[in-house]
Amino acid sequence: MKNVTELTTQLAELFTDLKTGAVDVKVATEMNNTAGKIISAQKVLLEYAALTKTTPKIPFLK
Amino acid sequence: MTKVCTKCNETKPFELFNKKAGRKDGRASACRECSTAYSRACRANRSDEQRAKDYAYSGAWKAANPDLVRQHKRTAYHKHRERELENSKKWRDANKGWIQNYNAEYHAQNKDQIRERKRAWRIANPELRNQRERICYAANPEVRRKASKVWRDKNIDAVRQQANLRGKRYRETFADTYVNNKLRRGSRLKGVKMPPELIELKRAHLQIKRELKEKLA
Repeated sequence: MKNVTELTTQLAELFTDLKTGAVDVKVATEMNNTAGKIISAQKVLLEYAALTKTTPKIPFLK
Repeated sequence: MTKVCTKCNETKPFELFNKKAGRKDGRASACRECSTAYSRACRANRSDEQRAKDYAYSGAWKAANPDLVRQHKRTAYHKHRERELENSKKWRDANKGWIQNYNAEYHAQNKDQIRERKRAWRIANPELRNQRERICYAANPEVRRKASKVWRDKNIDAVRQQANLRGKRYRETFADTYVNNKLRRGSRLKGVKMPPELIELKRAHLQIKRELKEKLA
């Protein structure tokens, strides 16, 4: 998992597995929480770019 | 086959004479052109008394045969559609004031009926209505914006209800607006355009979150 597209794909798979019961709820919760942390980190980077009025250069979002 | 007209004394084809059952050859003695001219002249020269009598007779016949009248009108209209349209336009242009007054009077007298009819049409044709609204808005954005503001100020409850329904729909379908708002919450990202990839990621995250909530409930 190196960028946002890959993470989205993984989350989509996790969602399908969760629906079919192929993955444990606890595992899914932890994975989703981690994804939430990553999203928050990207938000901080975007916020920083907005405050410094620079163009955001975030490798993860490319 | 030809025949000589008794009015203009011209020799014309047989078909240019009107049919007349009592005649030996089954055709009138005067040609169609002369017959028409003669009829027109007679109609123009008739006395007021005769004119009134004719109108009364014609009116009575029309009243007695409404279906036939409708059929004749329809046939004539389709036969001379272009001419009818042109005449209609000419009449409308010449009687603009009268039409406006008539319409205003009609609207004033049938306000509820018209409103109900329009409402029924809107419900039956939502897509067409939206399309027309968009065209109208594009043509007069300022006027429409003002009218919309006046309506919103008058119907605050309806506006709130609509907004709630819209919000509910956005929540249920994970619409971009909903996800965007969730992303911006608690940050200083007002006015910053969010990358679409991040919106997609957040959407997946929220979907799983909701599913987990349902499973744990």
